[in-house]
Amino acid sequence: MALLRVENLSVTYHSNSGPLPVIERLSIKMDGGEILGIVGESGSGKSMLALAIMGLLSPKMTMRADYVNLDGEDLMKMDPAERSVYVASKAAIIFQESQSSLNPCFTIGSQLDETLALHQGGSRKYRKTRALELLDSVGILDPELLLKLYPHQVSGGMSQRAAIAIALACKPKLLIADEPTTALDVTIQAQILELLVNLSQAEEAGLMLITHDFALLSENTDRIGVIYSGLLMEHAATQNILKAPKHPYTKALLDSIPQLGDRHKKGSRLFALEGHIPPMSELPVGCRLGPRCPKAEKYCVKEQELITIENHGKVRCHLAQQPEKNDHKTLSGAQK
Amino acid sequence: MIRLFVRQMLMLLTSLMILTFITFGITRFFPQESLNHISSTSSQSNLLNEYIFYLEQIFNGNWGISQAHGTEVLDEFLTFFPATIELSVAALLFALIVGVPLGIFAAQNKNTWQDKFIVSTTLVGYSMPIFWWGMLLVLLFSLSWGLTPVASRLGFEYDILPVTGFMLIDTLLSDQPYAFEAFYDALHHLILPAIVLGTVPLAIFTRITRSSMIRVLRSDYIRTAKAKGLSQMRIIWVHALRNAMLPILTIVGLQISVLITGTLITETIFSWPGVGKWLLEAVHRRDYVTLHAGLLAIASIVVIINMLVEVLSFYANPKLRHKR
Repeated sequence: MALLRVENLSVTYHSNSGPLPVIERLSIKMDGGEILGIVGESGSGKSMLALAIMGLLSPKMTMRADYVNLDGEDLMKMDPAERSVYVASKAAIIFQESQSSLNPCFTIGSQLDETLALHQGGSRKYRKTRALELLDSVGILDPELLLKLYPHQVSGGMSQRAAIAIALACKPKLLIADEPTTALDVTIQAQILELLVNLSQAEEAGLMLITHDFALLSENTDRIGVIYSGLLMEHAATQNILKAPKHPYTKALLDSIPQLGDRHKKGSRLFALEGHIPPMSELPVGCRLGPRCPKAEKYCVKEQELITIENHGKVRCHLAQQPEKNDHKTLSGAQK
Repeated sequence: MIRLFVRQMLMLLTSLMILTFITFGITRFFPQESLNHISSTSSQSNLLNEYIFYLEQIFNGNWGISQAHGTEVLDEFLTFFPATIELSVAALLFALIVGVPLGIFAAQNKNTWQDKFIVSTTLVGYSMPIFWWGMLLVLLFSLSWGLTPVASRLGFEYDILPVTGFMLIDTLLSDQPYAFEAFYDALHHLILPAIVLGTVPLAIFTRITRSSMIRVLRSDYIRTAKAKGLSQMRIIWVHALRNAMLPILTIVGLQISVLITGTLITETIFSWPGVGKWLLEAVHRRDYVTLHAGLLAIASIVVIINMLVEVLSFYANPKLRHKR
């Protein structure tokens, strides 16, 4: 039984000049204890995926889906109030800016206690012990003190840990981390990521890690979904994607990671995909990546479908079916 | 904490000092005979000596004898003052209790017709001349429909001994058999003046609450609160309002002076025996002694209340209270 099954999820933004697609027909599946990485550029719609699952889309956005099945219940069949209670009891989300995602007018203790009271209940004393346990489990050295502090009084890493503790307070089966480490410095980044991975393993909870940084995903995830312009471009096991990415966009993302030490070729420039992600109001004909794709050819003006590649996963590119002519390295060479 | 206290105290003293400079300066233009109580009679009188003597007299409660009534001005002020406080507090409560929820409602339904209706109505309320608005309400509610009394604080049939000067309290303290009826009557008398006086602050509170709430509702911590599965009620009234209240509190402080100025007109319309009406009559009678004392007292009260609100908003904001 899968923990999360999303089938044909579409999110539409109703702008003043008409509806715009944000996510189109996206399907993903996650099991308990699995770590799924979602990667894409800014504006690709990856955060919207998280918000859509959590039911936190702004009123100007609507979502449709065949089903969004979370721990055995279809969210699309629930009314909004019922749904928000159910989702909050099964899933939790951690945002990029932990400082601003905590309420500045309440202590961390009261914000943690509120969630505990809502989802676990119990006496004040019991909740206090649980709160201390939770803060301890996210690696806070003086939990007793942190309970009394306001969010602005603690550092970014500390408040992100507190935000994780608050997220864990509902004993989530699914933990969504939306760019959880982007606002932190590098050493704290590694700690927070390790913490998230360990916690999800300990609790057998699914972890959805959303980021623009492929390097973060490579070490920690079981599977990776690549999103571009609201479409799932490639979806496969992490080792397959790292070893042999099938979609030109995935290749481009991997090539844009700087290599340090011996792997870095002297004098070579870092690969960068030309152009920008197209605004939703000006989508290109055919493949969304078309105008930017280094391998674009005549056939790309047709709309691309997700195709299943054996021993790999799903790819939205007709070139993936053809025998591999150019390997991974020559793509960056072709750019020069 | 102590630093804040000292700073506020210094600011308060400075404001009051400037205030007394002004009132002292004004007295120089008054007819001489009206100021016998505060003019120094010593032979070597210079400006500084006179100012110090003036301060002494004011602090000793020697505010002079009213030219119109021949009674102590301080005593008169103390009789009229509670009525004004009662009216102002009622108006402030009315404005807050109606304005804040209205602002929240508008913010929640931003850009719908309800929101647009509220915003445009508040603009009308804000630009309404109070004297006209007051008379219109009296005409409708009191004269046409007979819902509320036309004027004064209490019906003539009740005889209530002034203890605190606050009619709502005095009626309850009274041991007359009709104490409760008198209380309701006093409440009845209070409603219309409070609405009239509270209209402008109501419009302002609604607008400030709306804009402050819209800003707060967009913030990340509200999204977190939703993700936690909290009820809509709790998100709005606890998480959002607590943050939205901070700018509202500052505006409340600034509105105090608007309220006090408003009493001059409102009390006259409703023959409300308060400081406002008392001062307006003093203007008509050229009662300089009363005017000078009233000006000084009201201005000092506004300054003091503003300082209290400042301290309050400091305590309400954890970011200021607990510096990292």
